[in-house]
Amino acid sequence: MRTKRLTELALLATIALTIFTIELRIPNPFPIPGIKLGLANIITVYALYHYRAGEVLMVLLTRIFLGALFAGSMMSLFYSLAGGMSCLAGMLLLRQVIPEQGIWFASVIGAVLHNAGQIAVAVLVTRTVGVIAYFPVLLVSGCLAGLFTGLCAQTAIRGLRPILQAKRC
Amino acid sequence: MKHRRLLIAVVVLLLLAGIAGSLWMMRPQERMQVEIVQDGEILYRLDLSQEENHTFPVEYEGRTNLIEIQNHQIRVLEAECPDQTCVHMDWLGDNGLPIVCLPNHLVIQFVQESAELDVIA
Repeated sequence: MRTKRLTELALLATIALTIFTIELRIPNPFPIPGIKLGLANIITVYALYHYRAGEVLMVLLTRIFLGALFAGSMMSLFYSLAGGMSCLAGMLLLRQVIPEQGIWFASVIGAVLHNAGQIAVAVLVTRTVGVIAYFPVLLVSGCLAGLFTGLCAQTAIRGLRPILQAKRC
Repeated sequence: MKHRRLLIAVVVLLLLAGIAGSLWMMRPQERMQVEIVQDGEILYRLDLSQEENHTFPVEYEGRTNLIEIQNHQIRVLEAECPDQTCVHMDWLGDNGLPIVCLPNHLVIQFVQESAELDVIA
């Protein structure tokens, strides 16, 4: 891998971690586990449309592992991993059919899949099917949060385009 | 642009499905049968309408969740876990969602009607 590419990926992981850590400090008004904005997802969907699958995976894994370390809860690592992987798998498939203009849609589906993955792990950990009761609520919050982060990514890409184009020269 | 409309329709459908499901979860019903489940095993099955006010501990690998029953309601009063989500969820109730403590593998939920039928049969 070229050094330049590696530096870009490291920068993306750093930005994602920064966003993630700041979001940890924002008090959550909803007392329901699983509901969050997931602002770090902005970086994942951005990377999704500008880098190869393996590279996006590296950025995401770096963010998840270091994020769990910074947050100090290893328990949440499993949930983040399950959520993150199902989210990424779904978005990589969507990338084949949805152009970059539809990035907000990929983000919504990614967020919903993230919640689905987390609930699957929660059911496995507690061995209690009743935990699925959370799914409808998380479906609503996932749609809204995914839409928000997706639109953020879209705005960021629009703003960055002149810089990215200048870089290539 | 047709494409875009299709995508919006899918998201709206997902959202509506979620809202419908949430409303269904929160439908008002007389629920007094509660079970406390750990690792898929039912530790306690309680009828809240019969229970006196008291607190009792549930242990998991040396960590304790203190469960409180008061005025025929149930909640986790204290938990020895980093995230305290189950404590913040407060009384089990109106929203129909089970109280879950993931680090201690603990779930407090209303007994599902189908499960109740099995007990009777």
